[in-house]
Amino acid sequence: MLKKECTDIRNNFSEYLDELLPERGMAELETHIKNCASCAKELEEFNKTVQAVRNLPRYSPHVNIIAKINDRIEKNKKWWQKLNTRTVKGTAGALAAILICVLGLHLYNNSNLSGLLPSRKADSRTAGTEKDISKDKKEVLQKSAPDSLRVLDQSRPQGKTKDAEKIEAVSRKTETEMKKQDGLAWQKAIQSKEQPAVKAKKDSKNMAEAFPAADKPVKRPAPLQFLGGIAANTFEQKGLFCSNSIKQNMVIREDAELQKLWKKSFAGLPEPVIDFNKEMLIAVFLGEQDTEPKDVTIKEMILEDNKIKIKIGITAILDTDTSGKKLSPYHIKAVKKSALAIEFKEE
Amino acid sequence: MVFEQDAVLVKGLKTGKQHYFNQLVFKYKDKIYNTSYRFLADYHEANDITQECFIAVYKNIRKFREESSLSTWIYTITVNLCKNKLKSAGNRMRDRTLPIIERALDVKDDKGNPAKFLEKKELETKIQAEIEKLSVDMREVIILRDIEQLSYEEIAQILAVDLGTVKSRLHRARNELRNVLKGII
Repeated sequence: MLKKECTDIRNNFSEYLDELLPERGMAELETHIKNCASCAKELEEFNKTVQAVRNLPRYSPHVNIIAKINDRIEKNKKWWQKLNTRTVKGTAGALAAILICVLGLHLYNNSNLSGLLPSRKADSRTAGTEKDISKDKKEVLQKSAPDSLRVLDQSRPQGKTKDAEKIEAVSRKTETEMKKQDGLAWQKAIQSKEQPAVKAKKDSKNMAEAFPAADKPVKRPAPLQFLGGIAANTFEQKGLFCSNSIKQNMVIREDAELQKLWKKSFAGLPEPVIDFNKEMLIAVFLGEQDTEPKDVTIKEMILEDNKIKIKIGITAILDTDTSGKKLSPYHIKAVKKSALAIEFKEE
Repeated sequence: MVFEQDAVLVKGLKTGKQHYFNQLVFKYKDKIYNTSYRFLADYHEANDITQECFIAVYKNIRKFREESSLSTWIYTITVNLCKNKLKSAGNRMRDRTLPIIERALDVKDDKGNPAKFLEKKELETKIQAEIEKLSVDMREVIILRDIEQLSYEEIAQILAVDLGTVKSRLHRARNELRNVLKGII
């Protein structure tokens, strides 16, 4: 039977070997060992066991363990984790840039920013040759359409009117027929549209060549768009009130004329920006209306025998409360510049 | 081989740079493998635990809050993986495999002294067998203290127990080993 002192001392062997006993405890244990052979032997054996465990050989895993670990990590990765960070960043950046561009264009188109940039309009009207040819092609087709369907309501700024749709339908039909009849003549007609508007006479001749099947193409009046086209968003102003009380039909080809007209008719209103190198203004004033007031509209512009006929529509205004103010209806429209004579015709 | 400090490795690992991970594996692979082997006494399982431990480190490094040292965290993962392995039913019925080194040494002598080698080998096998017989609580402290030579504080942190528990468990484990190995050592 062990003495209590020996039991207490042996309980401290582990900490003694690890040198974790306080100084007093260490001293007590060492003193006891010196005086107790049994405990000294026990401590020696205890120490041998600990040293034997500490001296167990150490092993290393197989040298390719790192490859195996990386292989397993790669296999366990989700698809998005396998993506290269740089690639992801690059793609995200590109997508963001595209999105910004699309949003920017959308905002630009939806706002009236285009109206604040008149020079841009001019640019759009003088777009590339390919666009012009395409436009001219359409015009040629319009010219070849029957008279009854050739009415173009110039007061409509954009969008397809019923008339326009009819014209397009006829145009498609005519195009097919024309191609069948004379492909070469068609090409000539297109090429002729690339010439300036002042060569209208020559154009008429070409048109006759281009459409031999048409009935008397030279005598047929052509719409003004034949001269080179009027963009849907060119300057146009129409109203019932202005300070010009005289009935007047005008063609304005210079800035000075415009200034004079504007001062006379629309004093106080900002003057429009017109590029007179490319455009001219058609202005129609109906004068002061007393009884049975009427409105005026530039209805149609037709190229006929080397002159431009402008058809003016005059319609009665019913139930209009003018609050005692006298009406002076007018309609002003910018068209492509032309040296041809202009003839106004009221309808 | 000179390794980066643990703090540098952790920072690098969190940025996802591969070479920091490789360096971590090189730094800790022997410690993890050796701990696992002494726990499970099986080469293949020790190898698996080593791989799983590093995969766990890779996956969870961003969650590592550095409240403990990297070393302590890695040992905690290793011990938990070993305990889970021991709990699994398959572990009890497994055929144990000796480590490659051990098998290679079986056919070689110990510096020209096969008798001495066999004696050492036999002692090691007996000690390992006795370690395996210890309860898991005692086994883990003896492996971490006497084989991995970690401090009491580190062991307490790894096992989530207090210092007194570590001391008492270690004393009991050593005492038990001393009793069973009496006359052999």
